[in-house]
This record gives sequence, structure tokens and C-alpha cells, in this order.
Amino acid sequence: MRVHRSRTCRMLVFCVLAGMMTATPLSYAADALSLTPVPAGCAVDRTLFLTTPRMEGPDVVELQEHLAASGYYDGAIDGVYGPLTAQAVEKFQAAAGLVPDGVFRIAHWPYLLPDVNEQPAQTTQQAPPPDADLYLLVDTRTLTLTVYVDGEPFKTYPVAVGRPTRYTLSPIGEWRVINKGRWGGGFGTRWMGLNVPWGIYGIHGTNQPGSIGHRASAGCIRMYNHDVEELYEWVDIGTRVIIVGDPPPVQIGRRMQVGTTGEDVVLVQFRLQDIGLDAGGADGRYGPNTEKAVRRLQEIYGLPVDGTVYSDIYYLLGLK
Amino acid sequence: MKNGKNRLIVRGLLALIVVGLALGGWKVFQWQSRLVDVGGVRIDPLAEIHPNRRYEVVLWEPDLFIPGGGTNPQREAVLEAVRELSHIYPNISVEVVFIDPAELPSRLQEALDAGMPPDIAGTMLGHRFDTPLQIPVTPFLSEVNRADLAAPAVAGVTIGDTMWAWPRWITMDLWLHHASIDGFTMASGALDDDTFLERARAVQPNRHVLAYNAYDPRLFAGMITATTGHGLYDETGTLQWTEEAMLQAAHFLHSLQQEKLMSAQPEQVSRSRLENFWERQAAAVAPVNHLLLHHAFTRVGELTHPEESDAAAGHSSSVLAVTSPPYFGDHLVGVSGYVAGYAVFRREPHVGDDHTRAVMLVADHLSRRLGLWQASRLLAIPAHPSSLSKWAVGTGLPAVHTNALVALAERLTAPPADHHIARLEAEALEKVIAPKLFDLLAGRLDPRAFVEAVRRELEAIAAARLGTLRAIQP
Repeated sequence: MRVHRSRTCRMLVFCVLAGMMTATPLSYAADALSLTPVPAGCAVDRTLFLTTPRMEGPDVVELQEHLAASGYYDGAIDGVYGPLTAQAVEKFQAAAGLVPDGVFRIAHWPYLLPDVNEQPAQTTQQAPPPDADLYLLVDTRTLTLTVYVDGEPFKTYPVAVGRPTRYTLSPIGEWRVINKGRWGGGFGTRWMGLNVPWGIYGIHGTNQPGSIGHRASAGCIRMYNHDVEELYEWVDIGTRVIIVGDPPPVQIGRRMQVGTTGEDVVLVQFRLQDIGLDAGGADGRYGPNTEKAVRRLQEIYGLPVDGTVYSDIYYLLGLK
Repeated sequence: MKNGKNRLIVRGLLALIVVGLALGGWKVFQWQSRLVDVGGVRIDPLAEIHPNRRYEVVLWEPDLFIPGGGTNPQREAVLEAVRELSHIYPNISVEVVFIDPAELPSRLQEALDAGMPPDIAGTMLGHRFDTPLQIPVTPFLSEVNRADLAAPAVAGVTIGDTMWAWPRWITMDLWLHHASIDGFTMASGALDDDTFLERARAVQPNRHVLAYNAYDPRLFAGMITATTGHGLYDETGTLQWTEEAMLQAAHFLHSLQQEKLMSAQPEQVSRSRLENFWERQAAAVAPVNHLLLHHAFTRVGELTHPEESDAAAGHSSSVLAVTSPPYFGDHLVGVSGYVAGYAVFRREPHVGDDHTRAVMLVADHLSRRLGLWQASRLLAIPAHPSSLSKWAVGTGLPAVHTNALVALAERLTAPPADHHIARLEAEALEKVIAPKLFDLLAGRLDPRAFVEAVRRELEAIAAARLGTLRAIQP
């Protein structure tokens, strides 16, 4: 069982590092760091309307994309709710028989996204044993969520993951479920929140089942409602969730120390693990275990030993 | 006639008895003289291994960091080497306990204090321990063993005429250069101060040629060893460094800073020396240990996968050059570094001379087989000359580098083999040389003040640790 899990983790590290070899251009990476304050993560369940300052965020990006796909919008997909977006919303509302006021409400999503037949999950068994060691592996390239039980794949579900934009990538890393809820609205019928330090992300159901199987979310892992309802019963607070895929386009180079959080911390943690130093997981939090692994790295390579990540550490880890 | 015959018979018998007793006495003498006294137990190094007896040997193996990505393959390599031994000696089994290298010395000391050491323990910093249970290796060496041990490796584990560990491999503290960059050229091998200065001055102005780690005392110590062939202390704990040698090294670093060939901001450059080197802002980086060398060769693509290493071994040029630290004088005298070994202990109560012989066989076997594998992966140099060709291929390095490493290793100056003195030396380097070197490089001490401060503190720490004030050599 352990062997299998470590193989999975190695695969994860490989994927991340392989992705880094095709690094995003620096201009884009720098852009990613100059974000204006917008809601981080996918937990954006709000009404959108024209106001000053303009509303921005991944939900606006998603709205613009669907409006464009439906022929209502031909402006820039920039995540900013401007006059063009408001006009497009009015057109969509009129066509859908709604009040054309340019205010996009949560309840409007089902009108914008056509429902499709839900694909069944690949079932191997009915339910995992109650005392089983269970973790979830989300592969953002194959758009699947696989439940591992005692180190073996138990059941695989189709999912939607974050769109490939600077705001909306799903968080690559090793996370834990930190809260659960029976919600509604855009999150479908169930929510399982993850301990991602830089935003609110989770695994949830959807009122947009047509998006499953696509890179369509604002970073969360979307599932069919009947799937997430099943999974919800198996997952406890603390369950491990590994999200693998291409690495985020983050700028590498800042000084890191205990207390630092972020996507670049995940990359450092993955790389430490890849070369055989246990950073205590890749959770984006620079904690004591990461510090210990960095100290060990510094000692064995003859670098100044202070437990922080400085310029030379990035070179040593192959991140620069 | 009959009486005469009887007398002859009696005399013959007496002569036989005398010869027999003499032979027996000689045998006993020989046997007695070859016995090795280990804490009051006399062990026969030629005791035979009984084919019907089961020998269970406990090995404490440092859980080494093996670079190259993926999961650490060392454990499998250790077990493979043990399996190989089992084919030859099916009645010898080895229980391997992997221990964090940083924790191994203290755990070993605790085990020795408790009188329950393992049969074999991997050693690096000090090979002779303060215990009546340690078994010297020299009496157990065969002629074949003796002929196939590199002299510097032997010296690193020897006190007087006695080897206290089976040497495995050698690592060194070196300097790494771009072979050619912006007017700076360098070839692998021994390096003297004049050559480095001349090459450094050829680099375009406003460029710091040397990117250094000011926190690493080996930046300074390496040059003194290169010049004098001495480490900090000898086997008695007497300071070996002369004021002259220390002043030379301090002045050299100081002059590099004054000529702006080296940054005067030690804190900053220490954490960005790889950046400076890889971004071609610096021509040389120092000091570098074997793992940093591994990183460098991997980064420039000169360290190939073992399966492809036949091709790599044929390369005769490189974009990097590996040298000794600069020496001041006619020739390179020493290169500071370390010898990894296996120390052997007896149990209390002693479990038999044949058990000790079995333990020695295991240590010898692992020092060769596992030692070769580890040396190849770590870019260390094997202690056994017969392994060098396999090692050169196994490293995946071009021949220009393996040849240079072997040549430099022939000048190895290792820490004293005595555990206490080796620890004292390490402590003095970290607690005295390192902070004072930083002060020198930060401009807070001039070379003369640096040497005086270092000398005072080295004397004090030696006095504190050894109980005797050692005077620095004039």
C-alpha cells in the first residue's frame, strides 16, 4: 500500500517538474504576481453587476467566456465586469426570458449553461470499508478525481478543474479537507473545503453539470452532484487531497522562511521531496518540516545554513 | 650392542621430543604474537570461519544523501552488497541499521558508553574511538588488502602504524571554475595563487571573479592545507598551522577584495554564489564539496546517466574546471578532505574470534563493493585503486574530471583519525575560523588582526577540549 502511494507521489512530483521545464514566459509569471485584489479561489458565489470600481474575478472570467461562447459577448475575457459585459448580460437575459437589467445573479447560471447528460463515474465497488486509509488524487490533465483506498485506486470520477488563466488554475499540491458542508447554489449540493493557504478552494457539486470534463471552474474541483454526494460520505475532515498537473506560472526567487505561504512554496516542497528530502508534504506552507529539509540541503551542499530559501537554493533545486 | 641400540633409540626419542616441543613452542609463540589485544580480550585475526556456524553481523550504515533525483537508492545498494556477500558466505547474515549521518556519531558514542556497539559502524569524522571495544584493522589485512588501498585513504584512518577503519572513499573541498569565460581560463588540477590572480585579472573590469561562501571555514583552511599539507591539528591535538601560512591565506583573500575580484559583501555573496556563477557573473566558486560538484556537472550536462557513461568517459574537454584551492609556493602539498570508513567493534562479552573474522570480512567486502557504488554516486574517490576504472565509468563524468579528481585525491589531507581530535578540529573550524573569517571578509578585521584573533581562540579551544594549552608553531 505504501509503495503504491509513494509511486503516486513520485508521479506527482514528476508532473510538476516536467511542467516546470516548459516554464511560462517571465512576463506572464510577473503578471501573475501583480494581481489586483480579487477573490482568490473558486468560492465566489456573488451577484455581478456594473459598479465602480469594477467587479473583477474568476467568476467574471467564467461569465464572459460563457457569454462569448453563446454569442452574446465579443469583448476581452479580462475578468472585469465592464459596460460590454453588462450589455452582453442584458442580451442573454432577454433571450432567456429574464428581466434584462444587466445584473447577473447566481440563479442565472443554469440558464447560461445548458445541462447535459451526466457521465457516470467509473465504479469499482460500492463503498470503501469504513476503516480504510483513503485519499483523493485529482489529475488536472485527465480531469479526473480518483479515490485511493489503502493505496489502490478505488473509484474515479470526472471533474471540472480550474480554467487555464492566471486567476483560475486549480491549486497543485498536497492538501487536507478542512471543512464540509451541504451547500447549494453554484457549489451544488456538497462542499469539501481544502486548506490551500492562498485562497478558498474545495471539491464541490455544481449547478453547471455541462462544465464537468472541462477546465471550467475558478480553481475548485467540480463534480456532478450525485458524485459529490457519494464522495462526501466517504471523506472525513483531514482526508488528504493531492492535486497534480502542470505547475502554476509563479515567479520564483523570493526569500522564504517559516511562515511563508504560496504556490512557489509548493514548488520548493515538491522539489525537496523529489531529491529525497522530506519537507512534510507540499502544502504551500513553509513550516518546521520544510525548514528542516532546507537546512539539511544547505548542510550537505555546503551552503550557508539558516533554514531559509535564498537565491542559491533555487539554483540548487533546479527551479532557476 | 643391545644397550647401545637402546641408547640410540632413547636419544632419538628425546631429540624428537625436544624438536616437537620447540616446534610447539614456536607455534604457540607465533599464535600468541599475532593475537590482538582488544580491551583485555586477545583475538586471533586468522581464526577460521566455521562453515556450520551462523554469524549475525550488525552494521550501522549512514543513511547518505545520494543525489540524482528519485527515491534514495542507497538502501537497495546496501542490501544488494549484503546479498552478494551471502552468496560467498551463506552463513553470514548482516542486519543493516540505517542512521542519519548527523546522528550516527552521538548514537555510536552512546552505544560505546553502554558497552553495546554495533559490529560495524560507518565513520567519517574520526575513526578511532575512546573505547576498549574497538578492533584495529591492520592485523586483519591480507597482502591483497594491503596492496589495494590508496595511501591517502589509509593515512586518513591510521594512527601510528595502526589502521582503525576500513577506508571506503575520499571527498575533498575544492574550487570550481568556468573553463573559459570573459577572458578567464582555467584547467583542472593543482592551482597556485599567482595563476589564479593572473587569470582573474584578465577578466573584464567590474566583475567579481570569485563567488565565495564566507560562512565556510574551508574557504580559508583549504588554502593553508594546499600550501602546507597540514590540517588544523595533528594526532596529538597540536596546532599545525603557522602564522605565516595563515597570514598568506588571509592576505590573499584580502587582496582579492581590494582588487575587486571578490565581493566585499560576504553575507550577500555567500547566498548568491551559485546564481553569480551560473549567470556568468563569477568565474569561480569556492569552496565546493563533492555534492556541489555533482550539482554543477549535472547542470552543465556533463554528468550522464550510468548507462550512457561510456560515452562521457571519452570526453576530453569540459566547460568547467575543478582545481585545488590555491597554494602559495612551489607545488600543491595537500588537499583538505575526508575519508569515509568502517570501524569495527567487539561485543561484550566477546562472542568469538571467528565472529570477529566474519565481521572483518563483511567490513572489507562492503568497503569495496558498496564503497565503489557510493563513491560513483557521490563523486567521491574510492579507496581501492583496483576500483578506479569502474568508478570512472560509474560516475558518468568525462575523463578530464575523473583524472583530475584522482590526482587531487593523492594529495589528501584528512582530519586526524582520532575521534576526539577530529571533533576538536571540526569545532575549531566552525566556532573559531568561520566567524573570524566572516569578520575578515566583511572588513571588520585586517589580516594581521584576524590571524592573531584566530590563534588566540584556537589555543583556547584546544586547551579547553584537551586540557593542555597547545602553542601554535612559530
